[in-house]
Amino acid sequence: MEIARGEYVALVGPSGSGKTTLLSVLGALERPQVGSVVVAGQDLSKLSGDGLALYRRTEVGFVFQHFGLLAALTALENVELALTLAGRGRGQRRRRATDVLERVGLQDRLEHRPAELSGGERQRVAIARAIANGPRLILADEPTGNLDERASVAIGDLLESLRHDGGCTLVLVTHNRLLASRADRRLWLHSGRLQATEPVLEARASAVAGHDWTEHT
Amino acid sequence: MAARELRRRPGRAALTVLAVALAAALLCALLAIAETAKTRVLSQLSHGGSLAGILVTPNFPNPSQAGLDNPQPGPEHALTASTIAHIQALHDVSSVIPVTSAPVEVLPPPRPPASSKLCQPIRPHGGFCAQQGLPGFGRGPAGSDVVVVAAYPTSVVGVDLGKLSALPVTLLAGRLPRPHSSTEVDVGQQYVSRLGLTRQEATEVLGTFVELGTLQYISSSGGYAAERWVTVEIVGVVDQQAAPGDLVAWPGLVQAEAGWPLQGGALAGSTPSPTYVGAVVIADGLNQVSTVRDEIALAGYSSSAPVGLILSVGRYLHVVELVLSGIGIVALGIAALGIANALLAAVRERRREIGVLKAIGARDRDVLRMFLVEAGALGLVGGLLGTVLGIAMALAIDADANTYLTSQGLAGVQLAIGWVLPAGSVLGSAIVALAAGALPALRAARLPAREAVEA
Repeated sequence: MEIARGEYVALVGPSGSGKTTLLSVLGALERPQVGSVVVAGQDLSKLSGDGLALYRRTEVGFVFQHFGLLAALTALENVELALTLAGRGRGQRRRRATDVLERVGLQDRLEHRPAELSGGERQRVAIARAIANGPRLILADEPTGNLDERASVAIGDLLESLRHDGGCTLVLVTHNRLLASRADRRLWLHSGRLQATEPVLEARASAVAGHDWTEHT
Repeated sequence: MAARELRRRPGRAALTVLAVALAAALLCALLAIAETAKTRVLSQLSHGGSLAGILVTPNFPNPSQAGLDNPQPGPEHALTASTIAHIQALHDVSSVIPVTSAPVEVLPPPRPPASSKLCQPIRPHGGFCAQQGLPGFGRGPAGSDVVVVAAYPTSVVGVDLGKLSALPVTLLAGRLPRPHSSTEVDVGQQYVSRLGLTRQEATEVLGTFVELGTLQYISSSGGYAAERWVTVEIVGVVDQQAAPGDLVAWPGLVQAEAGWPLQGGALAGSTPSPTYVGAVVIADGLNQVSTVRDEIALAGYSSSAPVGLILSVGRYLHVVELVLSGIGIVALGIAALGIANALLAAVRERRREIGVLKAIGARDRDVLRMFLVEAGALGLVGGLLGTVLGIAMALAIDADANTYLTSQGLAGVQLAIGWVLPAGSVLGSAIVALAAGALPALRAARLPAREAVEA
């Protein structure tokens, strides 16, 4: 499987098909049992623990279904945390975190804690954190899974705009047809295997036809 | 971030800090009291002087008593300035404090009313009432409020009171005479007893005045030629073992009292001359006391030092300290278990959070450090609170003990808290907390990053 730089890929398939595992392997959250993952010419299987941490810190931005925000920290501090781990100075952290939060439309929510934000806002904070260090690869695991339809559309727009503006590669796991239909490619997974690749036009047609991908397999 | 996490669960953090604080307080208070008690007991054994103090007497050593803490002295052997200089020059001797003494007649207050026949001060020679054969001190006839006083012979002991901590002299009430004062003295318990006062009533003599009489004698007939009386103020009550005598003063006053009879022209030399009645020798340490005593014996003088008793009692007190420390350490161990439990619970609850941290680039050691900082913070805050609490407890106990001791006419206890105990308590608490947090922190650090995407 190859994914081109700047490509928008949706991983689809039923529960347990291996979508999240593939995402974890791409993001170096776990090592593949067989085979290898090469990102930007870098073989992840040859990296040490610290090397993988560095890869996750600088090359990858994660967006989780559960948002993955630290409840004790404000929106600004959550974003700053990623910058802290990347070794940025205090002033630089603060400026960059403010910038990316403004970019996702949360300039009025900087000092709010996750519990004080809506689901859509939390996911925006998570996206801001994911892009804070300027990653080349954004991995999103069911980013709209906990959101209503309106918020899901907004998050989809945001992710796509990030790809267009930042030129980064976007790989997401989703059951959301509309979100997947916006991808350049859909990769069908079943029982841990890649079953099919569906080009974007077909995907959009399926989405319009109301095809349920979770039952497709 | 660690502080934020602690604040996020304030109840758990507060209970954990409280456990550490109580353990640190217990340990701190027990050790402070144990150390103070040890100091007090050893000080009592050394009569308030240096533990390495040796009392040299103007006697030859008694060979049959060699090695004893408090031997029977041999025949008289005058101590001189050159002898003291010789002892000072001995190896392992830190300092020598000479003890002088002068015989005096002491006429204590209260003054009887002038109108009473029984009320005249009774001086031994030429006094007004000596012929009545009154029995020294005491109250007047039964039912009478008249107090009868008479002078009595004793000695005034002269020592350098600036070196009180090295002398076998304990201040029980009041204060020491001002440096080099010739008008102020402290009195011993014997003086208080002679007035018919109890130990608890000792403070009643403070601020009163006594007359010190010095006599010039005609040696052949035993009669006296002249007497001189000076008035001095009692400013303190002491328990002193430096030399026999009811009064303690600076050497200058003793020298004046002892020297006056010598100014009697033809009578000079027929009266007691000022001599050293002893010397307090301070060895470099407790282990050097025996060696110094041997050298003093070689110089021809008897000496005494409670070193055997001090070492023996010291060993028992050390055992007591160990037991008390053990109790405190057990308490600290229980607190450590509390910290470990709280952090293990935190690791269980924060598995996904730890996974997210790793997903955004945290290394294992970053997570390890985060949990260790939490544990250290709990220990440090608990240790600080506990140390303050422990010292407060020790001070309260000390104040209570002092009230009792002074009510019994005994010297109060000075709480022995330096910087080592508080610093050790705080640092020890932090270290114990770090040790307790090590296992949870390692568990957290080893959690896989995949926890971030686990359901």
